[in-house]
Amino acid sequence: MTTIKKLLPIVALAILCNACKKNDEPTPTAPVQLTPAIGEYILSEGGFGSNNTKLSFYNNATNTVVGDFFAQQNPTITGGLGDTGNDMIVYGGKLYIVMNVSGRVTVLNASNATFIKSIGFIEAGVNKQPRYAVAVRGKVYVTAYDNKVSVIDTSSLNIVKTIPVGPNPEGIAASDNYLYVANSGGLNAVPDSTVSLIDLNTETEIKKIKVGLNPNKIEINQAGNIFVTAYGNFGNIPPSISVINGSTNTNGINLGPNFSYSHIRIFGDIAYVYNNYGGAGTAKVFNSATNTIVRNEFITDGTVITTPYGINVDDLNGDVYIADAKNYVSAGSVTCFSSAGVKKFSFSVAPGVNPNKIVFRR
Amino acid sequence: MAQKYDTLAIVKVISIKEKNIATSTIPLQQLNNEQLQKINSITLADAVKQFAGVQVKDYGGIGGLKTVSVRSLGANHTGILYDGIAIADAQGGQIDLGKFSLDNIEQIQLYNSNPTDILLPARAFASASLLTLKSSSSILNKEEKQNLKIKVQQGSFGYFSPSLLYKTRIGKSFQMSVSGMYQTAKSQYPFTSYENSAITEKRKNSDINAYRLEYDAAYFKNDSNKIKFKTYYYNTKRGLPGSIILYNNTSNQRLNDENFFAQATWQNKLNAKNEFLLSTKFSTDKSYYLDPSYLNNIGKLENEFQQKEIYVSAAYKYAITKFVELSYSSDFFNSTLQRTDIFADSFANPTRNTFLNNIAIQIKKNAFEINGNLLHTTINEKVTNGKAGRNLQAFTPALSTIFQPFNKIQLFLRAFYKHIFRAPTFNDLYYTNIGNVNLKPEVAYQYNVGITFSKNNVSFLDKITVTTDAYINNVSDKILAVPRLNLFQWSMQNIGTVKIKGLDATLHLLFKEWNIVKLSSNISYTFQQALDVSDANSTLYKTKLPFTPMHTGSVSMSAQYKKAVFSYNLLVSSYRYRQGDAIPENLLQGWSSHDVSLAYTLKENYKIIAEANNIFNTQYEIIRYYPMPRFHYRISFIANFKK
Repeated sequence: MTTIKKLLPIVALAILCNACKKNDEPTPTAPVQLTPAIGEYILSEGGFGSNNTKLSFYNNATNTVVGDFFAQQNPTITGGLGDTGNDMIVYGGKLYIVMNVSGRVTVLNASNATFIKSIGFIEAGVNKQPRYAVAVRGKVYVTAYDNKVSVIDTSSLNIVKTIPVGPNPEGIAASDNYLYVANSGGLNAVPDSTVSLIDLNTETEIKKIKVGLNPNKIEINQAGNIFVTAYGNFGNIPPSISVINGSTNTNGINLGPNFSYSHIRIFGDIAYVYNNYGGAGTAKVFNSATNTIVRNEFITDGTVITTPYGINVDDLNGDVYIADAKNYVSAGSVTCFSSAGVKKFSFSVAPGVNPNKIVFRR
Repeated sequence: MAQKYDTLAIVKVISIKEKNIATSTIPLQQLNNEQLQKINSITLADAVKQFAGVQVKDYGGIGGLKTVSVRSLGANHTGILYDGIAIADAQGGQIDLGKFSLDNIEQIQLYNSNPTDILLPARAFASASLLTLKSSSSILNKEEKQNLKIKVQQGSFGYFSPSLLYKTRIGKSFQMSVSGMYQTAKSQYPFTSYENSAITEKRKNSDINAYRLEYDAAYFKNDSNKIKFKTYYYNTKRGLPGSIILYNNTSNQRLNDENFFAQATWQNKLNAKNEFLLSTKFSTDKSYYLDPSYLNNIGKLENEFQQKEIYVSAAYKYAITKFVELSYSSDFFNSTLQRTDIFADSFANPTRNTFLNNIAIQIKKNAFEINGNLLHTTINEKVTNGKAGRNLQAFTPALSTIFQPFNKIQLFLRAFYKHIFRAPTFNDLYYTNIGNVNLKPEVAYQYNVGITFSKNNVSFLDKITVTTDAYINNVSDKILAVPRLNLFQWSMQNIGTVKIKGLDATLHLLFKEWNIVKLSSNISYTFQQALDVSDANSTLYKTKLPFTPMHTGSVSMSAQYKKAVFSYNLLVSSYRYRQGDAIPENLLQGWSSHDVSLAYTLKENYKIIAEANNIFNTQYEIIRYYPMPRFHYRISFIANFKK
């Protein structure tokens, strides 16, 4: 009985996974002129119940890192960010940090990480558990385990609407006209296997699109096709990737056993897919236009990443940043690679534990 | 009520025996009822905090989980005997000491290896350290025919607990007793906010409602032939407040427990050379966990488990000579676990048959003593779904000795070695998605050398006793949860190796009466260094185990003046780290807690005890983000009628 209580956080921790979704203002289909990154913000989710989510900042000019940048920039907020930051996006000069266990989205100035506001996701004594966010058309859309997408108005920073979707939604991506939301059903006895298609004009769900069991992440490639990773059932059904045709939005096509990955990040047409645990290689690279494999192992110089926990690509130069969660309790690190898989530099995010999201400050 | 001593010829013994800690081959610490009253404690967990070498993981509040790790071996390595028979938890393997209120406890003993009696069930030899509890209801003072004790306690944070104990002797050779306790507490104690230290928040969802009933019966044919029977029922419903989560004060999870057992023992000394002890027990433990705000399609998460155990033991002791005794004991127990909630899915519902066979020898001459034993364990495991855990066969020995190097000085040197393991628990093996049926047992080796000294009549002291023991413990194949395959698939693995170095010291002072003031003092100190040496490539290699302080200590002092007893208790712990790197972020500050109490006896039969706990209102944590109560009080009223 006591052990149940002890194990529950482990189960819960297991349910909280990392993010590596890309959703900067310039959508892949409409690239805008980028300036070189001044530095990178790294979100480390910490340990479940440990209240140690950290925001680190790496300065590209000085090659220095401030591990607890939030604390440095916000000395009066003694509690820090809170517990289990699952996702972070940058949009319209603001950082949106999705705090899953603390039950809120914290908004900071993107230029200096000073606190602006926290938007609560706790209602009637229940934490709705926000998970992932995407920004489009002046709004930030946040999935939460209450089976809804919450719509945040970026000027008032209030939740102005909620859109019902499927059970326990996870990853979310935006095309010009639609939102795609992965319905995991991860807390149910039988997981879900659909993506909710939401019309951005009406902000309502139009239909559910069939994908793999227990869908997780969603990315959209240059051609406008939607790639959805799924966890499977952790037993006889392995992770999978399904592709939804972005013009017809019909049921997804499973890419097959060579693409058994639960996480994805697409840069142009190049997809980096990985599983967020150690010992299985770092990431596979494939061309999402042709679904042909570029490299089975992204890293070409022998650099070791113990536990790939988040990947992002600098849209300007294609540099690949990989966050390493190591043993999940020690400080994590981030390594920058060229697109050829050769290490450029690496830094520790101590005291950050379990780094899961990297965004670029320009 | 009239005080009248019965003149009936009564069988003797039955009263509690104190052991001499200075002449024990293995380190032994003990507290009796009288001492327990002086140390401001409600539960067993509070009491064992006084002992050297003991770390209590206390999650705070009356309903908060409290487990005990002795010499950093982990809570799964501590065995508990209640009135001579093991209390077991095959599911989790860690007994919550918070469940044992002290109102019916007469004596607590902690043995770092084996108990020094050899006529015991084999199970008493099957754990790295052993906590033995003797209930008050099982003991009748030989001078009493009847004894009625009523106690009412009231304290901070809505704490209220009445209890009753009635013992009676019927005829020359039969005695029985009933004991009952009810306990309720809101336990919404204030703590300094982690978000803003200028604000005080209150703990939520930390209420507890519990009651306990015990019935004891004993038949004494004569001094050396006795049969004892006991039933026990405990029921608790409590909130699980969980760790403090910043910016999120929701807490809705509940836990209900129900424990029942019935046990019997027959001990018979046939003659000067032969003696046997038969024991049997049936126990059932139900637990129900509810998360009513779980975000699945039925809006809740439930876990409902039932454990059952049937236990039989036979032990026989034979005295070869005046100085050499041999014993053999053989135990069998059948343990089952069933999961009955709607989420049970294809739970393994395991059954485990354990056979223990133990031979022990005791050689004792004057101040010299050797104790040795060899335990054989057989475990057979079956499941209704999936694959069963490994079957197991193992021999594990232990040896201890003490001697007095100089005739005229009460100075003793002692040493012990013990090799033991703990089997994987049912949770380790079968917990949904996490359990791993390939687990091996977790092995512990203990090496101890010690020195004890005692002397009577030293200047202002009636008696001084000092014990110091240094030890090395090695734990291998430690069972830990680690992520495997992916983060959803955490798995229990035999991956840990721990090296522990430690020193336990105790000092007991009994002062000579000074102006009719009687003073006594007990001090304990523990040095421990428990290092994780699991993986030389890990950043955690050779870091200290989480939540393990290097220095801990306790002081308890009491002074009696006429009918008043004043007591002072101190607990101290140095800093330690939570899990992860040894960096300020993970640091927990050292702490101390000072308690005082005043007990006053009114007439013969009534006593009032006023306790003030944590008198300096210190805010501290034992486990990170589980704040401990600041200042709190209790007042007890005790009425005791004897005939």
